[in-house]
Amino acid sequence: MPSPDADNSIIDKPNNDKSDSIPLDPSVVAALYVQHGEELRRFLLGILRDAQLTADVLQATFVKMVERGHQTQEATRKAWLFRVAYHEAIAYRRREGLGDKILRRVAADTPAWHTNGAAGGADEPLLRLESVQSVREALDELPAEQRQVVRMRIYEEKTFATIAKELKIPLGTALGRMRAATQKLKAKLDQTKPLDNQSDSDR
Amino acid sequence: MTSDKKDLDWLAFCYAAGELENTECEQFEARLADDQAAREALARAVELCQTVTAAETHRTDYITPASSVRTGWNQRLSWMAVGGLASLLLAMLWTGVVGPTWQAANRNFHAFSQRNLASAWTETRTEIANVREAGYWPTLTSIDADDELPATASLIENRLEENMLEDAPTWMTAAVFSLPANDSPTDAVTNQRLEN
Repeated sequence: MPSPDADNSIIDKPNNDKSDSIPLDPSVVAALYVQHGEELRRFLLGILRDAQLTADVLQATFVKMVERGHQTQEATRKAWLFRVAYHEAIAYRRREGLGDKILRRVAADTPAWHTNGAAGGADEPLLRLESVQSVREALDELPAEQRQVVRMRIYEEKTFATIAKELKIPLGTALGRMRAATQKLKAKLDQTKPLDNQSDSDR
Repeated sequence: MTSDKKDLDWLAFCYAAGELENTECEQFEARLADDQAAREALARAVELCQTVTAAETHRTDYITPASSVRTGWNQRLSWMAVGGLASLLLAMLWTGVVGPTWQAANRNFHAFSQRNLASAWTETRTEIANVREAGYWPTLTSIDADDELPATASLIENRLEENMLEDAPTWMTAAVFSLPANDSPTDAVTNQRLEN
């Protein structure tokens, strides 16, 4: 499991009380997984572009939480998890020599979230039906030219350069349509989320 | 949503989509090391892509329930028909319509095989007797000890004297029983029993 390269500075400043040596209660770690696991998985997928690698690193991250979580402050545990996950992912990529290779492959090929879609095993991303339906409605409400760019980029996996060429529009126009569309879709997606599931920066 | 946050979301989306140049990509990854907002933006970008993909991919799946209601009766009728046929077959087996027929065919097949075996064995015995009378039948003394034939000859002579249908050689039994097998149904159990 990836970890030797991970930066030890990610651990919060240790407390000097007795609780420093007592491991976190498993129920606390489980609660953290329920609360942040899916968001962490998406974050890692964004870096690693591979569902299996993502699952491995996510597991390693929570193993670290079990081992060292007692050294963290409760208020900063989410950021701690993301920091550990980031370092684990980068270390894993570096060790496996995946780095740019993954990015190039993803840029030219299929993004991982396409092939490892919504319906899958326990290690695959979870999508709420309500969110999917809501986004579908939002897609239908988009202006035709924006919807076309969204479909070509996300569903047909074409680069913006290709889209611009095929639609015979400037690259900036293609980017602008996509950006406007993603803002609308994201706003719709956020409406379907319960308040306690929204990210801290959203509030 | 602030302008900065929109910019961050867009940047994260471009990173996730692999649309950033190498330098921009490295810069964003460096930012991910320290910036929790950037990390969450990346998670949101991936979620958006997943959701849009699911919305497009499974668009037809959500229409299915309406059509499945219409085809529900067809499926039920099909299953009822299959069940009825299965019940009829079971009833036929139970009342002996199929069973005795199969058993009779099996008995006939065995009788036919027995007759063939007896006939073939009788013919073989006659031919062997003719060969012996002509003086061409190998004897134990005229064959080298290293040859495999003495054992065979001795075995055949002994078998001739026993004159028992049940002692017919295995190869003949198998050969005879294989003849009707081309035209009649056989099963592995029957063949194995015969070979034993």
